[in-house]
Amino acid sequence: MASCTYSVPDKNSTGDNFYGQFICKQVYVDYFWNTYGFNGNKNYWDDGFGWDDCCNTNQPLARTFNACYLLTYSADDYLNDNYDAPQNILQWGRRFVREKIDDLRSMCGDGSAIAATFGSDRTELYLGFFYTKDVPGRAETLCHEARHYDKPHNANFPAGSVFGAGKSGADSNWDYQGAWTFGAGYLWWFFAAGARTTSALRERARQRGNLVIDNAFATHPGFNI
Amino acid sequence: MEALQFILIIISIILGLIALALFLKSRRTDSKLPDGPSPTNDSSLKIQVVAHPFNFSDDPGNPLNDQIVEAVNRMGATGKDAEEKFQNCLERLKPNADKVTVILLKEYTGMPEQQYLDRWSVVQLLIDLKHPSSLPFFDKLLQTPIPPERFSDPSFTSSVGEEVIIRTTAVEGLVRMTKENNDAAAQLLLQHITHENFSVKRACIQGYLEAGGNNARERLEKLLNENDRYILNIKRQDVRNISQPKANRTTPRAKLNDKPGMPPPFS
Repeated sequence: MASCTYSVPDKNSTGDNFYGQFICKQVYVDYFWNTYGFNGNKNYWDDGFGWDDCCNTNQPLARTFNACYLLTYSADDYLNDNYDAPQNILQWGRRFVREKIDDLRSMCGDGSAIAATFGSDRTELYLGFFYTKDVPGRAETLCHEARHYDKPHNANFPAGSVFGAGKSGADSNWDYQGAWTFGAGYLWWFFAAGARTTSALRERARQRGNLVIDNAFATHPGFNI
Repeated sequence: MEALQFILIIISIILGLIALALFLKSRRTDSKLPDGPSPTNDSSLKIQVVAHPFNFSDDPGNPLNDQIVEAVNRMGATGKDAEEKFQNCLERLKPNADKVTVILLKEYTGMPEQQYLDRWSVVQLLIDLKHPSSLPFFDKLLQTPIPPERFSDPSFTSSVGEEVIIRTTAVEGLVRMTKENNDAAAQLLLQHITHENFSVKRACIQGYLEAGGNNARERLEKLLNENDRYILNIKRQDVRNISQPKANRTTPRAKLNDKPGMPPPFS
């Protein structure tokens, strides 16, 4: 059995303290567990990952529930998750993630990645997902991984890319509509129209979105957030 | 006799059902989460909780410390009044912004490199406070070389990327101050338009273009080398004006059709 440890600040800017007070209600616990691919995976969420303490936002399960809460309720009209235009990914992101990810697991990981997607519906989340990402960043990651069930990356990172210049893992361009477009698009909408959040978290989403736009496409889209 | 046997069978079935119901109920109240059979996990996790990411070793009893912790914590707030309460924290800090800036700069310097999110939150708090005494720090931060990549596979999360986010947030601070006619901030933007990292360079150029006044474009055209002038054409856009992510309309698995029972957001 792989075992891992992590030092967690109780109060910092991730958003976990505040989202955490909401996700602890049983109605949300049940909804998220049954909706976002946790169901059937108790053994992947116990042993310190939070199954027996699902309100504890220092542990991975509650931190993932926080991302689910943000994903579910950050659109002003959160009930409308229709895919048809003029709807946007802030509205249908939650539907997309729940339709694609049916098997969501937590693991220590080896430190090289924060999440990975396998087969037709399995997504694994690693320590970096829970502890290096703020809550919007976790929602971005879920959108990114969910898109991988439709499309792989199809290009190498451009010269100077922080994600590994010349290595595979990039999308050719914005209109390829790959995982990077979905992740950056979610952050962009969260920055522009995210509800029930703060200007600081929206600014963080903008900066991460711009990092993706500048570094994750073989051809720069020619715009920024 | 047959009637007696029938009654005994019925009673046995009823008792069996009651026992089964009690068993299921006891299992349900043991935990908060329903679950079915699942494969075996191979990971276990132990966490160590610390109160907050700061040290405050110079003056542990300073009442501003608690206000700083509260402001950083409130950055992540959610709910209808999230922004209002975050702004209230900033307002409480602003009368002492000079002292708060000194504390924050000391804390930033003492933070381990790998605490990227916490380092970012200090820079974000500085740009929200907009105190001029943070300008030399922003300048120094932008001059500091970005440390080498720490992750073996940076293809989604990159330590260099985290360093860049910290720096582009500092650039945003310069842009905000430039918009408030702070010439020193505008000069710092211009000074860093040749930054080694593309995103930082792009942020400085776009920021100056946005905040640097009527002649900003001409000034940038003169200062930028030919290879970088194309960056002037990369525009900040409203998300409503770009090509939108589009989900494929595939047939969802039967169990994944619209889920009933979504509760309303907590208010």
